Amino acid sequence: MSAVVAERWYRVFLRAFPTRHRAEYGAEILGTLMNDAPRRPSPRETAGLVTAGLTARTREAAGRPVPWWADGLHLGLLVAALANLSYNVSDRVSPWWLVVSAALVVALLRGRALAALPLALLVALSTGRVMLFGIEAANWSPLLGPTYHNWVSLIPYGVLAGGAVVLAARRSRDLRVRPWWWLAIPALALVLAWAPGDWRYGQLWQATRAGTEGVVLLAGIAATAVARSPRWALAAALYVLPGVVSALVYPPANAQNITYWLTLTALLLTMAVTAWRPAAGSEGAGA
Amino acid sequence: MSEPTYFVLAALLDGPSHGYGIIKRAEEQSGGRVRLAVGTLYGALDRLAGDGLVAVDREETVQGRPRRYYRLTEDGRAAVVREAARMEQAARVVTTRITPATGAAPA
Repeated sequence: MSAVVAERWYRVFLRAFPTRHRAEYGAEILGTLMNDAPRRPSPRETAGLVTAGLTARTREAAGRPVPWWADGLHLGLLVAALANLSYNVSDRVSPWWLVVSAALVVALLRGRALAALPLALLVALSTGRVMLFGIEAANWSPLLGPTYHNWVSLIPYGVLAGGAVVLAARRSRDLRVRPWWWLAIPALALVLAWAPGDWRYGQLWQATRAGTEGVVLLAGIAATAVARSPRWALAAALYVLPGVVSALVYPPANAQNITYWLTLTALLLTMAVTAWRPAAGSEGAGA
Repeated sequence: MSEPTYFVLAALLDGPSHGYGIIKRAEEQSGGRVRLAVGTLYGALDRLAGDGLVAVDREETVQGRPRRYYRLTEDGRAAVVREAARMEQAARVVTTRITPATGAAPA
């Protein structure tokens, strides 16, 4: 393997850094990495690029002018919208309703609070229409999505609508544009829903859901440990707490589900504690 | 202050240095304990520059690549000196209580 290949390799992993950092230090980082003219890329340097890059991204996210609570609320609503879209994909709802659910996700991904508001209200009102307007509302229109028949299951939709109202009321256009890779979550739901054998709501579906939630919550804990900001804990609370309320009102029938909710709660608590615990060596700049 | 940050600042006490020089000096001065990955160093330099502890001294081009020399600012020098004094005081708590030959506490 030649130095040219090593340089190309490092160039790929340099993308872990945010654009500003790459523009400022990218060429210099490559120069320093290639100082010894390595014949092959070093795993240690590669890991260093990835961890330092993600750390820089996290700090940049926490350093933006948007208040932490608005950023956390925005992320919490995005996660709720992604969950709604993923369930709609699994339920194979009408294409029109899929478009509405996907448009809400895109509006939140692009940080457009005003565009997200009517979509969030429409999704929440449609899902809660039986509880709000009576059982006959279930058959109002084939264009509408699924509707829930108890208030507890509607809590996430109340959070979605209320949160969208708060974000729109700020009248500020400072919300982050979030990366498209969030769409991997509904894409995963799409694969499970349409793969031969119908995996919807089976063991694999549940394991994939729990695995995805675990990975996202662990990433939130890592980000919180780097930036010591409560924004990720707020977003996680908006997602986990409605589920915990539901598990308390309708206690799970088996030990597996109890373990699942206890694990999500423990991850949320870890994130919250990490956010408010002072960082080691916080008097100086930790490297 | 974390150990890598301390050795990055300490590496600049004798004068400006480029990234590769800082990595080598930090490794040498820490007895091989602090082996900074290049990505980690530039993440730290960015933060230290943001906190006003280091600054770019000059820039040159070597074999077509930019090479910047970093220097300690007054605040950076004060921070690393303060940290050294703190560690020295902490070390004295132990070193004044043990006999040098055996490392054991006096009876």
